[in-house]
Amino acid sequence: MNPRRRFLRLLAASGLGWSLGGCVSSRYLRGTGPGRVVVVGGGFGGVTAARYLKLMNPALSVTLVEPRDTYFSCPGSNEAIAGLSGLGTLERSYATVSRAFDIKKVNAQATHLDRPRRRIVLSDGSEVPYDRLILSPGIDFRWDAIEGYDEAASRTVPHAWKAGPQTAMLARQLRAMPDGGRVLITVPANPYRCPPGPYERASLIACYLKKHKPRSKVLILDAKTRFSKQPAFEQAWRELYGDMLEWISSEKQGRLERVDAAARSVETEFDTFRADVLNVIPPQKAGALAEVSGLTDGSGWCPVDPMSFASPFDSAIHVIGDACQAAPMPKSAFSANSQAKVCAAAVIASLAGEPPPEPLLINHCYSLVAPDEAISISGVYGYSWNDGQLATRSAGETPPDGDRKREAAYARIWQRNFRADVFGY
Amino acid sequence: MSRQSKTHHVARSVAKSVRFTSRAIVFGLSVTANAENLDTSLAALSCLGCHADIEQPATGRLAEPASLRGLDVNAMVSVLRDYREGKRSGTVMNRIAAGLKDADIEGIARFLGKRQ
Ligand SMILES: Cc1cc2nc3c(=O)[nH]c(=O)nc-3n(C[C@H](O)[C@H](O)[C@H](O)COP(=O)(O)OP(=O)(O)OC[C@H]3O[C@@H](n4cnc5c(N)ncnc54)[C@H](O)[C@@H]3O)c2cc1C
Repeated sequence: MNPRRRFLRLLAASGLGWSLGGCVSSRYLRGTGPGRVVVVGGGFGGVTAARYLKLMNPALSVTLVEPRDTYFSCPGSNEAIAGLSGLGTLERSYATVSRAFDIKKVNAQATHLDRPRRRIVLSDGSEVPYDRLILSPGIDFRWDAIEGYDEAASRTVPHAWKAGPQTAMLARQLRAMPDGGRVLITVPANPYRCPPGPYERASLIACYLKKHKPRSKVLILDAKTRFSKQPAFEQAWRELYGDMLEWISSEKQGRLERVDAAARSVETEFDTFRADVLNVIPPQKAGALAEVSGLTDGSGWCPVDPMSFASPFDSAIHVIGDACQAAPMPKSAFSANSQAKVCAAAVIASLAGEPPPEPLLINHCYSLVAPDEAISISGVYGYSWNDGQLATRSAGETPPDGDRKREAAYARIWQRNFRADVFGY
Repeated sequence: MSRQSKTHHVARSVAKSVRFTSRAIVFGLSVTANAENLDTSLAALSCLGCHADIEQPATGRLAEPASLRGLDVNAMVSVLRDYREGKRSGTVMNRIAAGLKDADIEGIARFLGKRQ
């Protein structure tokens, strides 16, 4: 069926045929001829982009390149670590997504891009051509940033900053820890994936310990001097966990110098800390594919034009999610989802030879501080014509005396609705 | 739930969500005859991150940041304005509404409101 007929049918099915007048000439529908859009990375950014491309223009051919069969959501993974839920609730199947939305799934890792020929080269040597490419490869770790903490070390000292087996490992170690033990979490400097995530994790671990191992402690060793939602977190910690949970600013301990995975200890400029359960969250950069494809700058992240999320290095390539630099938006699943929708609209406009619509983006992130208490941070971001960057239109967070119970109820609904908006269920 | 009925349940909710979201999108596009409207409907797509148009269970406390289906466009405009101006108290929506201009509010309401 041609795209216009298909659109008319959809419209009729929706009972909105009466409002057809202006829409057929809408720029989204002009020039909806063949366009091959390929999305690399089936996380929150990539799957949202693929799905919304199809919703906006069902005639488009959309391919998703992702090596895994299922995705594990990081949002919700701190609850799994603290034993509040199983890993199963975090898992989503690409087969279901691909079937429901008519998205072609290629089960492979993209090793590099042949940018002049607009082709993605896969691990088996085969190639996938594209007219427009959307990259959402997420993060990779800077394995050279902390002495003693490389990929091999992460097999016994988890980062649990990509959900899945790492999440399960940290959960197991916590279960096995004796009462009276110490959990140590190290946190990197900005920017990194999910700024409030480490503090949510510390809260939920403290909650688990309070119940099951009440003589134990959680220590956060931070490379920063302040952190996201700090007043609300600190208020909740005082009320709920007292001195079970301690945050140590880099002002007190300086740099994290070394990790000894075998001894489960870390050295700062001034002290050595031994832990029973050690969780090192290492410094990060854009997913390796972005780096080998020449799409990152000196910061290790991908600069983009926030109007369309196109790369300044290649106008056929868009980068969204954690891998892109979209400050002042934080690196979150919510941001990735919002960026994916703006990017999908821009890609469709660009295939039609039209300029992208002006974006408005939203971020909103909950952190659980206990199973039934949460705090949140939100921001609305517009496009600034002055400098071509994103500008904060509004920003706010839960005040220290906020209604944490109510926000926890919202947080649960958010997790469920959000996964459904991305994966369809 | 048995494995089979679970699969069935998943398939059903996927189908539902596809139907509702594509309806939202189609409706949004159908009112976006000019660039200005098109732009504001992009903001509305971000709303679906929380207010995904899936059905909420009939029981329990899952009623609040729920489906916006059935809301009248004018009612939605005035609720969003009230949040923005602090005339209506809330936990989250005041902060979000504070970043919306009149045109955004109208675009969002036209996009998301008035769906059955
Ligand atoms: C503990 C924790 C809690 C969090 N909680 C929240 C929260 O409550 N709310 C929130 O908004 N955010 C939260 N986040 C952040 C959120 O998980 C990320 O911001 C989000 O996943 C980013 O999406 P993405 O698409 O950029 O990357 P990802 O979701 O990581 O997806 C990247 C995908 O790309 C694939 N990929 C990478 N390279 C290639 C390649 N070369 N070829 C093919 N495929 C490739 C990967 O396999 C992966 O599936 C949390 C994060 C953590 C760690």
